[in-house]
Amino acid sequence: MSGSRITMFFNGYLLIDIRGNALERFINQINNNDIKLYNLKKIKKNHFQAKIRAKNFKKLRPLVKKRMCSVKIINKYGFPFLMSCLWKRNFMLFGFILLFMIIYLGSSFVWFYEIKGINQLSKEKVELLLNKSGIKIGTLKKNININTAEKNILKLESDIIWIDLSWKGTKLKVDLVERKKVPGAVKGNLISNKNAIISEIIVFKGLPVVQTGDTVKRGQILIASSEESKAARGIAKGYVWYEASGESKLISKKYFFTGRNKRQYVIRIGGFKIYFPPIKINFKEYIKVNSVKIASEWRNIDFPLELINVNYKEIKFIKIEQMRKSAEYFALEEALGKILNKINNKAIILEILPEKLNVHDNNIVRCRLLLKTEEIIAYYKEELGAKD
Amino acid sequence: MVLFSFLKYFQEIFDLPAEVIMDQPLIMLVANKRLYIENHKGIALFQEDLIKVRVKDFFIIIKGFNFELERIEEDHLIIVGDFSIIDYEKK
Repeated sequence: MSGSRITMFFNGYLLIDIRGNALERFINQINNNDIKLYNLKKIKKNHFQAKIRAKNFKKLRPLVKKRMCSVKIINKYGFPFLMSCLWKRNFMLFGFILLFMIIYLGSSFVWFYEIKGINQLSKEKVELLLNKSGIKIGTLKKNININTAEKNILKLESDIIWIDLSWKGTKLKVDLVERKKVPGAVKGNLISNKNAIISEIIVFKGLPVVQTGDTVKRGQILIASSEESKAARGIAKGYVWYEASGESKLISKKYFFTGRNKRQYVIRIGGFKIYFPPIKINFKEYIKVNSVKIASEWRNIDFPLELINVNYKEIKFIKIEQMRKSAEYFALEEALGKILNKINNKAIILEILPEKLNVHDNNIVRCRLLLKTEEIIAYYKEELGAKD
Repeated sequence: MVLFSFLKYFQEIFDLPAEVIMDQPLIMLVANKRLYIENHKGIALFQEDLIKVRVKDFFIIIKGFNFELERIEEDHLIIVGDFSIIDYEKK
């Protein structure tokens, strides 16, 4: 068919059989009468098949009468024929209309709730609140005003501080945030969590036990609770020292991959192993990388089957020599890394003291690092057996 | 004949397309699958592996297989199929 395939479909077209002698001449005659034929095919001798627009079919009759030809309709295609076909099947049409109506009507009601964000409140209580503000399962979506319902719920329940209602098809999504209840103060002291020298102490509540410049140990009380204020409150900062050492070699061995690999698969069934292909590893030094695939579990049944992909990667060792200064740098870097892992991220670093250490081995450079920081060292600890 | 030579002269002088002025056939081929012929004078022979199209002064002979006349109109036609040879034959 031509580019007007869509127009052909909407206007309707026929598949016809043309039989007779000298059909080429007949086709030329049809063409001269301004009747268009499409997809003309030769089936047999003196037998053609073509497509024609439905409205042009009647125009063929006078031409057929003149010649010793016969034209027959094989099939009818297109929208008008489809419609007439549908029209004959009243109940199917009715069924389609009914189906669309049911889908349309069904989608305009609330059928489900999805409630998120509840911890202390129960689901039933939230549903009751929704019912009170006019949202029930089976209500028309059109009759529900989400904004007023949100305000109503917030008024009705003081434990909810934020609520958001939204539609997802026929489902009502309820997102809410509950009010957090802060527990009352419990009797307790502020205690040092590090060995330090106090640099600053500010007391909000309670009695200070130490002063600025005092050395404190871990676990020592800094601010004690008094009779007036059960819970001690305050800020205590202190200088804390950290120490770590690191080392680096002047001459070290490192390996690199040569790029030559060998692959082997191992099938393990229970304790039995099958290797394929059976290869010999003729690398001088290599690294073995295993990746195991286990047959997937199905209905609590474990298959004792494993496929292991073994990759042998050839390596070569090389000697790396470095200068004493760069070795010192790497040793210090290692020490610093160790300290930074321990330090609280709010601590302020005041001083860094690097120090070289003497080692018997000439190949090793060892350094020590001392780090002085100022940080908050107080934490709150409840007294045993204390009650609100 | 005089009119023909005048038309030819006219077409050459003004460099006009021959298929418009002289009614010469215009043939367009897309790969070896689709053939468009303008200014045809009808079909002389239509077989699955051979089509003969009448144009001014000669026939166009198309050989191949799986031929189908996709569309035939007064001034142009489109043939689809697998073409192997396109030839001309004097009337």
